[in-house]
Amino acid sequence: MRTVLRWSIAIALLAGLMLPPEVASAQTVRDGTITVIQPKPVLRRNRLELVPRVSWTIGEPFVEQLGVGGSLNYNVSERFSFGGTFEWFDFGPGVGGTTRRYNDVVAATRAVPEYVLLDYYAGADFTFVPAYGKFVLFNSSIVYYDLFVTLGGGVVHNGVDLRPAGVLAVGARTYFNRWLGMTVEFRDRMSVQELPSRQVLWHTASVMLGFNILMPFNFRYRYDEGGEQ
Amino acid sequence: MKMKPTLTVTCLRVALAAVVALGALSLAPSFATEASAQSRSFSEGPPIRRQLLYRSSKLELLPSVGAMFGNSYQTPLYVGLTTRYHLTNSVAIGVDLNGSPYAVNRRYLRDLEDRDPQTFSDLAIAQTRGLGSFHIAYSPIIGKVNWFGNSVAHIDVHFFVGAAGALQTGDGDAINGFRFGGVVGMGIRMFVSDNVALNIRLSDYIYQDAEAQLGVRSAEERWRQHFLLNAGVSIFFPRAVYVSR
Repeated sequence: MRTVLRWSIAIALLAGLMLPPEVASAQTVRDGTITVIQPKPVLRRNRLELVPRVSWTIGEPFVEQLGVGGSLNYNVSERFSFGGTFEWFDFGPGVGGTTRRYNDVVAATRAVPEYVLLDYYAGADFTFVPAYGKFVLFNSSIVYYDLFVTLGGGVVHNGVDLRPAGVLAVGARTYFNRWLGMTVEFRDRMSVQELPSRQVLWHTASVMLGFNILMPFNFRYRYDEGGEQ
Repeated sequence: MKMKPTLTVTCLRVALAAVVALGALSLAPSFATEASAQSRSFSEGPPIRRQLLYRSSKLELLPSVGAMFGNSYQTPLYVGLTTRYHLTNSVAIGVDLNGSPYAVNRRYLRDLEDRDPQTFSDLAIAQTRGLGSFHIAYSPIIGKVNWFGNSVAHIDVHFFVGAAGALQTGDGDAINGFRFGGVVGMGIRMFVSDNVALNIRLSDYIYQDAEAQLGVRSAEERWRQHFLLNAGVSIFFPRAVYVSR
């Protein structure tokens, strides 16, 4: 009987050593002695972010415009960044301009709506990230994302003169790897414009699709003694 | 007198010991958490285990307020109620009703009133008093969001498509009546508790209409997109949340 006991203990020890490590981990986790923190897949701090962007104006029924441009931001931390944005809107009458609703209104009322078409916008952006998270797409893969708010200021050119403008934008971005990502953004450029009849606060709002290129292309995690990055 | 065990007996003892030891070890994980069992197939299973099924087999009531934007003359404001039954955690069928008690004149209409009061008084604007749809919703995206680094909420992104109708009223034949069409849209829910979620939704109601009619001149009806942005609170019944395997 003692032989059976001895062999039992020996085999149990051997088998215990040969068990897959996750079983041991899971048991330890159950005791609450190990905390596992998954690192963020992309770190932005101290990296430049180039965002080529394409936008299409929305909200204004009588005019629509395509905007093509780019942003260059410096990420001071994971949550704050600042930089500049330039967007060009004047691609001729074939791309953008007055809409079918404009023609309908002129036909219905015999009165011509007043409008503003922008040539370009140039300005500075300050971006804050209040929220981040992850989601599962089609129950297949986990994707990390963050939400951001941008406040900015600059100038718009309306074809005649230059006007100061303020910018408010909200958006979401996700990264495919350590240096390439995608952004979807709603952006409103507000400027005081002189229409033939009166002065108005003119909104040029758009939805934007952009691609984020982080430079340098790679980064290193830093593990402090306390376990923080 | 002590007998020396034979090889056969030794083998039997070792076999018995192996059965006892491995039996004991095999029992141990069964008392451990399910995580240990799941962890053996991390690379094979679904990305989320023990998923909280916030929607599965639940009835959703969604009171909301909203506005239709992009119209030429007015911005109608809406109150709405959406009812959905979630067949699974991803698929739901629902009915959506919106009523507009009030509309805000846009800049062009205000300018017209100042510049040409006669045309303004002759112009009949179509009032879209009611919007509704019967739709199928699908939630392919579920996840979490962390606000300001200290509070975490579950979210989902859902898309819907269905048949829609719009009730227009106005002083003219071309801008009066019921219109049939379709609706497509998307929404985001952010759960603040097991059965309450904040909901933001963008719907595109597509139907044929005219926006205004001047005097007896017939207005041209055309297929148009009517974008409705709603914000509301989703309440789910029953309140208990199922957990997936």
